[in-house]
Amino acid sequence: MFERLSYVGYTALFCVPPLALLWLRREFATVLRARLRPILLSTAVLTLYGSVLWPRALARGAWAYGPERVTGIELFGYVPVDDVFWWLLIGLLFSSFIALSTHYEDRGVDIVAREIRELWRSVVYALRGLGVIRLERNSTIHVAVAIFVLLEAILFDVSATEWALVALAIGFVVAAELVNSAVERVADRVGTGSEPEAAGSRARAAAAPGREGTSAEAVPPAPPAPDPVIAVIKDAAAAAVLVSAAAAAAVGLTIFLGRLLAALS
Amino acid sequence: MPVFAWFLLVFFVVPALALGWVLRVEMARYRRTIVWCLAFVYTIGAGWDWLSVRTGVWRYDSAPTLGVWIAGLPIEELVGFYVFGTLLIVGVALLALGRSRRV
Repeated sequence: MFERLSYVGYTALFCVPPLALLWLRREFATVLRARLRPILLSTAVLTLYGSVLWPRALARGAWAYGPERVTGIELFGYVPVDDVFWWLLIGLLFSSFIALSTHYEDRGVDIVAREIRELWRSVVYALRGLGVIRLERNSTIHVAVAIFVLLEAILFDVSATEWALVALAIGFVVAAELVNSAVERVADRVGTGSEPEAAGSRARAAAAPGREGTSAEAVPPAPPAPDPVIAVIKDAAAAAVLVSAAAAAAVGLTIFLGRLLAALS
Repeated sequence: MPVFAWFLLVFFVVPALALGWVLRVEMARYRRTIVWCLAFVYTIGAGWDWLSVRTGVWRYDSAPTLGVWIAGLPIEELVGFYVFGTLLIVGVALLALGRSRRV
């Protein structure tokens, strides 16, 4: 992988994603920006130190690079550019993390432990949210179909690409179902937020004797007319599920129809 | 002569211990940060190191080593560079940050 860019490529692979974790979050970026100078200073010192030392160690054979795995470019005819890149990213990554972590440690917070704790909590909430699937007819039908498709995929020994497509299709439908369930509940809550009181006052007015009629003449209150905006929102969410299910069906037919027909013939 | 071990001793162990002594108060104060740095080095860093050796990006058998190897990595790398390399980086970063904290 990466051929002559292997060293540089691995360095980018292992350093850029954690750097993005540190610098993209606004909460962290604010802290890091306030300490930008020391971070850059520390990065520069480490890069200089490593860039001067590494060629000396290499010259004495402390370790060796695979010539087909490095760029072969040397700065000033002395230091491999791959090493400079390594020290630059390692220096920036560690300096950023140390600047951030010490900031929180000063305030009695272990930032990594906090992040792991909150991440775990969000996973628990998400797993609990999966239970919504069991509350609705359509989502249980979709899960049953997904089980059928998975068994078919095992039976027909589909390829890795086809497995990926099946997984994507199932995930797409289940995710759409979950979002639809969430939207429906929010819509119901918002849509009925003022309705029960209105309906209740109508019922009370109808039941009150002597003014507009007797209790014997009272008719049960009509169900409140659905809010047209809420109705559109719920319909759109349901349509999203329909579209996802249709796309998944197309994927399923593409993968399995030919095999099924061949098996039947 | 174990070249890598000597190199690490001179350029990482000694400077890291010296910085550690100078910054002993900060090192003690920020021990959680140091523990997390070491944890990342021994998990993600070790994986990266192992992958690099496996795919021929670098190798440690180009000169005599101390002779103890774990998962294709010499003990001087796993202890000398991982521990004292990390401590040196932490020391340099704390030194740079010290000024900004006092401001």
